[in-house]
Amino acid sequence: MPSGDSGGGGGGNGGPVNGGDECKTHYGGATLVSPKANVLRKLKVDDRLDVVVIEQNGRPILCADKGGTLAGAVSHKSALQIVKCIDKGYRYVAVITKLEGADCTLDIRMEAGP
Amino acid sequence: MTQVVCATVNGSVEKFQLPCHDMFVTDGVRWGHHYEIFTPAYWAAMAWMESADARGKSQRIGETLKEEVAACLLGGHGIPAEVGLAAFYRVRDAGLLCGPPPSEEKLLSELSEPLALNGRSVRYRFARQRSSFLSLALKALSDSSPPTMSHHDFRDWLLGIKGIGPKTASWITRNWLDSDEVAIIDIHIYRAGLLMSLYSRAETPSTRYFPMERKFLSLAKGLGVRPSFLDALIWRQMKNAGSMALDVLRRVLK
Repeated sequence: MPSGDSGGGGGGNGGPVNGGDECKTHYGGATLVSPKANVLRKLKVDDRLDVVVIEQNGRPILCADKGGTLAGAVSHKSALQIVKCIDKGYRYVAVITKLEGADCTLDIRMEAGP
Repeated sequence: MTQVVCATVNGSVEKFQLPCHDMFVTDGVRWGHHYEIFTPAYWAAMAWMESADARGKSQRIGETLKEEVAACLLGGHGIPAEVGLAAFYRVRDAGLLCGPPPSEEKLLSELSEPLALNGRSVRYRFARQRSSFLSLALKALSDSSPPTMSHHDFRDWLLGIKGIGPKTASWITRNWLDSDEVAIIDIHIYRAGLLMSLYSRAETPSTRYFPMERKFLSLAKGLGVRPSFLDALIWRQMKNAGSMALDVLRRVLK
């Protein structure tokens, strides 16, 4: 297994070196990806979905779940950070802010800390 | 068939199309699903989402080439990025990166003192070795300048300095010239490459740096992302992923 931390390929210019690791209380503008039609048709604006992490091919996928049924994957530029936070024990919900056909926009909010 | 990435920009949903997950982005590497973390499609989606934020941002750490060389030389293998930067600020603020090249002893004297980092006192590893290398580099830069018309010639000039290997030379070249002709294959890019099947476990940057760099540049071309931007994006996210990236690597490679 390749080991060692740094190399520092991006150094300080790859973005904040120590920052970017916090678990925020809010991540706006997420979208539901590959929504399951049978779940989507029952959803409406302001509905709350649980944000969960599943594994596929060994890799994590951020997903939204309604009452134990997967609604779809969640796309957001901080997806990796949210996965990390859930791994640390934080709980998030996704509130539907816009729903037009298969386009579903979500507001991800922290529900509880670890 | 394609896959569609959506992102909300100023309240509106914007869409970006990528090829289907099972198509090849470069030799032996499939796109994968964009929502599956660490796939090539994931990196392409992230690059698209972050591109507006990154526009116009310079990758330079230093104000002069001497400073850039110092920053990259003091960072690198075996040194956490934060510690490397702190060491750079120490020698820069001591005035050792302007004027006549300092002696190795002066550099060692500064680097031997503990660094203050987030309220902790941290010792800079390899102070003796890096003082020696930095002293040689600063002397070389005082005697002449690298050619800048060709990015590879610029890098080759740096490679002629003892203590500057392909990764450090590439890092300096990428930063100083905003170059898309080189790649910085460090541990984070290497792990990301393994996760994408871009690299095999038989390849390591220490033995196959330039072939691995060619593969990375080919990947960037296939993704439609500037290599310099892709390198920095992957580095930042893989570093922040920390042990999670290692866990995923263990699962994927077993």
